[in-house]
Amino acid sequence: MNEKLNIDARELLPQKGRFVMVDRLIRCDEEVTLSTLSIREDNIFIDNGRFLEAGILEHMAQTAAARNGYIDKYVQKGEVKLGFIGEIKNVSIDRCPAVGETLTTSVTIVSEIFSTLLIHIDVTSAGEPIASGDMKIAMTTIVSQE
Amino acid sequence: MQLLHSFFQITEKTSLAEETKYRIHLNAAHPIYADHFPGNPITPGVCMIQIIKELVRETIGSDLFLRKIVRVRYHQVIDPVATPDVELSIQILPQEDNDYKITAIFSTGEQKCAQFNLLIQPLP
Repeated sequence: MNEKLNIDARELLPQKGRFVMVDRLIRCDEEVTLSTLSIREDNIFIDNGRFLEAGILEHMAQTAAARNGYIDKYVQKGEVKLGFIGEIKNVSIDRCPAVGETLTTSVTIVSEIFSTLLIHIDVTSAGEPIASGDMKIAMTTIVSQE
Repeated sequence: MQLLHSFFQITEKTSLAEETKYRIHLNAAHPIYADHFPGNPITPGVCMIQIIKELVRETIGSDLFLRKIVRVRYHQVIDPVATPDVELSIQILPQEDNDYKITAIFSTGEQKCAQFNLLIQPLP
C-alpha cells in the first residue's frame, strides 16, 4: 500500500452528503491511517461553535472507514462497503474543538479478525490531544450506494 | 445540533428513582438517514450517544461535556423504517468527583440494540 496520499474521503466513504466527517485521507499503510477534518460552521455536529463529542466519535470511526474504503477501492479494485461501529472502549475526550480548527487523526490497527477490525485512534488539533481510545468496527459485504 | 424534536420525539417517559424509561419515535425522513446510508437508513451509533446526552441534559438541567466513553456495545442496528419506536432506559448516578455515571440501553421489543457506559460532566 502507498504511504503518502491525498484523497478526497468522499470517494472512500459509504457515508454521504452532510454526514461525511473526514476531509482527506493522507496516509494509509499496514501500520497507520491518517486523516484530516476542518471544523466548519455548517458541520451538522456543531453546537454553539463547538464540534460535539458525537461528531468527534463519528470522525474517529470514519477515519477507519476511509481506510477500509481505500483498501476496497484501490487495493482490491472493488466497491466501497458499509461498516458499523461494533464497540467503543476507553475513549477519553479532552475538549470539543472550535470552528476553524483542523483535526488530524491516526488509526492504528490492533487486530483484524475476519470482518472485525480492532483499532486505536488518536485525534489531535495543532499537535494537542482532542480524543483517544479504542473501537471495534464491523465490516460488511453490503455495497455502498450513491 | 439538537436531535430532539427533529431526529426523534419522546412519546412516553417514566421516571423512577435513578432511572428514566423513555419510548422514543425516530423520524426516518430526517436528512441524516438519507446520508447514513443512501438506500440503507440506519441509526448512526453516535446519534444514540447524542440522544442520551440531550435527555440527560433535560434531566440534570445543565450543559454537559461527555468526557469519557467507558464502554459502548452495539448489538443490533436500528432501522428507523422497520422499527421507528425504540425503548431507552437511562440511569444517572452522581459520582464524588462531579461526574455523572450514565448507563443506558436502547432496545426494540425484546431485542437489546446497544448498551452505553459513559461519564458526563456538567459544564460550569
